[in-house]
Amino acid sequence: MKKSNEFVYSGAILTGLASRSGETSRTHRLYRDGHAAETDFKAAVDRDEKKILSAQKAFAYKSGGQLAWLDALRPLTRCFQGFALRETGGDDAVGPVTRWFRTNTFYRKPLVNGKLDVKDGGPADFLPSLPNAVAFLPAPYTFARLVENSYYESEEALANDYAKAVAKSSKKLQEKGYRCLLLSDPYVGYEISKGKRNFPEWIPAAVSKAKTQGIKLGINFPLASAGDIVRLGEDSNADFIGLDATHSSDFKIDTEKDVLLGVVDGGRAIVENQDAIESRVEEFLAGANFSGNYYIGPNDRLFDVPFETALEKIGALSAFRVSQ
Amino acid sequence: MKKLFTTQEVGSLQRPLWRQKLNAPLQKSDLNEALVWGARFGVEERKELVNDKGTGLLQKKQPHTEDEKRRIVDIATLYAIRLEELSGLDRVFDGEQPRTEMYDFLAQQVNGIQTSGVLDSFDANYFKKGIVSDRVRVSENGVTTFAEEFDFVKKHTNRIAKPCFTGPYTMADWSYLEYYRDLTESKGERGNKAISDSRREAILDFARNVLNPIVLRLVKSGAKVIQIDEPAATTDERESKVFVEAINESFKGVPNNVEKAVHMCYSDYPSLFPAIADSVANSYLIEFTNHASPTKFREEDVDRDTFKTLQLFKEYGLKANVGVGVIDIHSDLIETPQVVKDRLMFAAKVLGNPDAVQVNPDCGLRTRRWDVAFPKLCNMVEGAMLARSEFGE
Repeated sequence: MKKSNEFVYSGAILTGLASRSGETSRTHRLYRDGHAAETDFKAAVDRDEKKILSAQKAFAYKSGGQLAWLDALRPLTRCFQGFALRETGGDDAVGPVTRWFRTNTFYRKPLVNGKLDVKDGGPADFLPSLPNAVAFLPAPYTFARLVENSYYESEEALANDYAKAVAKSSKKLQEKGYRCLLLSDPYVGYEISKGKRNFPEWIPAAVSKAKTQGIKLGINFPLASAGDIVRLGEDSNADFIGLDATHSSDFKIDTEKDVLLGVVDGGRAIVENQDAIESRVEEFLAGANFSGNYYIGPNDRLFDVPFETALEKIGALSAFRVSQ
Repeated sequence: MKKLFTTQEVGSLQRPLWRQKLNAPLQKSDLNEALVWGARFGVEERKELVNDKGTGLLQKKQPHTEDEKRRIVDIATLYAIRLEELSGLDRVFDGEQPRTEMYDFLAQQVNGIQTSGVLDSFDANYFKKGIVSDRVRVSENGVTTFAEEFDFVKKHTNRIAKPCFTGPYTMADWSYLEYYRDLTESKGERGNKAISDSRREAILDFARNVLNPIVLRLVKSGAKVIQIDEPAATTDERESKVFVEAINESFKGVPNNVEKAVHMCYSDYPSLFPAIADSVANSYLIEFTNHASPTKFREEDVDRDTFKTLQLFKEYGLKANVGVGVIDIHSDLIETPQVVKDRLMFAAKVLGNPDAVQVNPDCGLRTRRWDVAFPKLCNMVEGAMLARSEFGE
C-alpha cells in the first residue's frame, strides 16, 4: 500500500457527453420544425460549449461536452465506413430508435453492413479544435453490443476493426488538440447488473488496438463496481482506468495503472459538496492499490442532469483540492 | 359487432407556434398558419384568432389576459380535434394542446415535485425532470384540470374521446427521487437496495396518490377508454413486477366496461413477460414501425423484439388488444396505406386474432409538423380500411 505522499492528483476529466441548456434544446426543436435558422441553433450550442469549457478549472484535459453529437454513436456512422446510410429523409443513420441503458435517452442503433474503417477526418470532423482536450468514444465492447451487425462473423472481429479505425483517427484528433481519448464501456456494468460475470477474453486486447502514440488512452467503466471490472482495464494498454465510485461497493483493487475516480454522480440532481468528494477520494486511496496517479471526474456522462446542474457538478470537481 | 382495426392517435400533436407563443410576439407566418389550417379543418373559431377587422386574439397587442390565453388554447384544441376527426380516426383527443409537455403538465399538478430543468431525450425532443422533495400526491385542482380537459373534448366531438396522461412508472423514473432515497437511507439501507426500494415506493405512490384519483374522476365524467402513457415502462427490466403493480393500482376501482389502455414505446417489451399477465389493462399500444420503410413491408424487416412481443401476447393468452404502431413518428416520409395494411395483416396473423388489433402511430405525433402528421394519419386510416376489407368489412 502506498503512503499518502506517494499519491499524485493530476486533475479532473469529464467522462462523456454533457447536457445542453433548455434554451439550446428549445432552439433545436424550433430549427427542426423550420421555425429557427441553423445559425441560431449552432450559436446556441456554441454558447453552451463555452460555458462548459469555462467551468472546467484545474482539469487535466478539457471537453466542450460534444454537444453536437446528440448521441454517442450517430456521428460515427458518418465518419467511419461500413455503416448503412439512409438515402432520403434527412437522417444519415438507418437503425431504430433505441433506449440508452436505463435512461430516458435514446440513440439510433447503427447498422454495420461493411468493413469498418475511418472516413475523411474521422471523429475529429465532429469535434471542435481545443487545446489539451479529451474526446469521448464508445469502447469496443460497448460499441459491438450497441450496433446491429450484418457483416462481421464475430463480435470480436467487429470490435477489433472498430478499435483499429479509432486508432487511425488519432492523428487528426491530435491535430485538433486532443491529447486524451476516453473510451466508455457502460455495457460491462449494465451486464454485471443483470448477473453476467464472465466477459470475453478479447475485451482488453480490443481496447489496446485503439492505443496510439501521442494520445493518452483511458477506459471508463460506468455502472460497475470497481472490483468487478478492473482486470478488463488492467490487461489492456490503456493508460488509465475509470472507476465508478457511486456504483462501487468497495475499492479493493489491484492495478499498476493510473485511475480516474468517478466521484460525481451523473444520475442524481444533488450536487456533491467538497466533503462528499473528499471522503470518496480518501476511501479510495485507503483501499486501492494502484500506480498512485489519479484523476477525478463524473462516474458517467453528465447528460442525465440539467445543464445548470452539470455546470455545478463540473464546478464541484474544479474546486477539489488535495487535503494536506 | 366490434369494428376491426380501431384507429386512434397515441396522444400528442405538435402545438402550432401561435399556441406556443402565448407570451411572445407572433410573426405574420404564425397568423397565416392559423388561418390556413383553420379553413382546411373548417374551424369557424379561426375568425376569433385572425379576422379582416384586425381584432382577432392573435392580432391584439400582447400581453394577453388570462381569459384570452385560455381561449387561444381552447381554439388550438378545436384544431387538434378536427385534425383527428378529418383524418378519420375512431378515437380522438386534444393532441395535448392545453399541456406544456407530458411529464411537466402532470408534475405541476402534484404536490411534492419541484421543477429541475430540461433534459434531451432524442434529437430535438426533450423533457423536464422534477425533483421529488416530499411524498407525492395530486392536488385537488390537478384532478379537476384533467376532468375539464376531457369534458371539453367530449363536448366538441361525436367520436370516442380517449383521455391520456403519463403513468406512474414513467413519472417516477423521470423524476429525481431524492425524498424517497433519503427515506430508505434513513432506514439504514445503502447502495442498490436503497435505490430499488426508494423507486418502488415512489412508483406506487404515484399510482395510488396521483394517477388513481384522476382515473376515477374521468370514469365519473363518462370516459369509456382511458390511456396511461408509459414510455419508460422497461427502463429497468428488473422492475416489471412493480410496473404491473403500479398499473393495477392506477386502474383500481375502474369498472369492467371501461377500456384500460397502456401506451409504451421504444422499449424492451419482452422483458415485461410474464409479469404483464397479471395486469388489469386490456389494451397495449406499442411502437412497431420505428424507422422501417414507409413504402415496403417485409416480414424479415420487423424488429425481432417487436415480433417476439406479438408472439408473447399470444403465447401467454393475454386477453388484450394490441395497438400496433404503423406510423414512424421520427420521419417526415409518409407511409402508404398499403404498407399500413401490410403491417396490420402481419400483426393479425402473428396474434392469430384480427379482433385484437388496434391501429395507431408508434407514439405521439408531436415530433412532426401538421403538414406531415395529417397525411400520415389519413393514410393510417385508409390502410386500416384496406385491412378491414380483407375481412369483408
